[in-house]
Amino acid sequence: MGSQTPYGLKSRASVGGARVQSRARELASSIRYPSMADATEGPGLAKRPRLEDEGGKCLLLAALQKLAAGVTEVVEESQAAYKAAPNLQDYINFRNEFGVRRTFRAMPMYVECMSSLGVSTRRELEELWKAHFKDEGVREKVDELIHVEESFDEFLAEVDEELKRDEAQLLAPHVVEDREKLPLDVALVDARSGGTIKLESLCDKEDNSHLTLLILMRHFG
Amino acid sequence: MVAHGIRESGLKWLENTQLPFPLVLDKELRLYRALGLRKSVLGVWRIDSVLGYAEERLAGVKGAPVYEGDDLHVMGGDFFVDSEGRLVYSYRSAKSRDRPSVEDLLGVLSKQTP
Repeated sequence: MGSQTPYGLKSRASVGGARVQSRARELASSIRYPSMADATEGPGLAKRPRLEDEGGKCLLLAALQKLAAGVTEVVEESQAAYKAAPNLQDYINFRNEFGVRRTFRAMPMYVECMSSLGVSTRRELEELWKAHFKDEGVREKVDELIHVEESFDEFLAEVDEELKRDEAQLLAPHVVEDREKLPLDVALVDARSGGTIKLESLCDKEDNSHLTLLILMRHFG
Repeated sequence: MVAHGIRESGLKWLENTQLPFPLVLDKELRLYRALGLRKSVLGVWRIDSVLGYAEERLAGVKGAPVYEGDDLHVMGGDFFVDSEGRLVYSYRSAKSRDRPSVEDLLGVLSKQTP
């Protein structure tokens, strides 16, 4: 990582204000992170007022500290699980609870952080921390959070590279470009009837001014 | 609509959504691959996707279910083909929830109108 962050901060700057840090640690330990089950079931979390006074700044610092630490743990755990997986397909298998889906543990951490600070979007969170940038502790934690978020995506990009190599042999010999014909003899299954149909039957041959929109889904969910 | 899951999940999804259009299944991903769509873990689990889900959670939006046979890592896309089967528009999703706007799609159609 470079020494400059998007916010022009020094990375890993030493922090003055030991009393602020100590208070932040006390507050951080009082924040409970919900489990994955909480993240998928139950009602939304109640909003609290925005924090703008001295006490509010400490809560912001504590929340950022907890979030950065939590996301760091997710990244480190994910990297270890990836290295320990017998193979790539095992690691990315959604049904492997110790596989890549565990990176989603970060989601309830963001929910808790934002909810505890009375914000509901990343943009609002950023506005809040920018309003407290005079505090060196806040700047350091923001820097740390951004750094670990970049590490999070860098790790996934690394897995993607291996996935790309793994899939190389499965790729079509030619990817269709604009103005080229699709492979119209591709056999597809009509979900309703269960019968086999060819792609060309989906093209509207009745009217050459008509276009057919093919929406290729990611998954049914 | 083109999907790659199993038929049973497709029928369940049709019942849930009442889709009035054809739903076809490309289980071997032949069409997906011919259109340059591949699997991606970054596209699915990247930090801005995590944030998007967190914001939805805070807005009270319930998470989508995972259907039997779903492979979450297959990237999707939107493609217009003409009556001869030629590709006239392509949008390959780089991440989850990455789709062209309805306005963009209607814009493609309006260019076709004589």
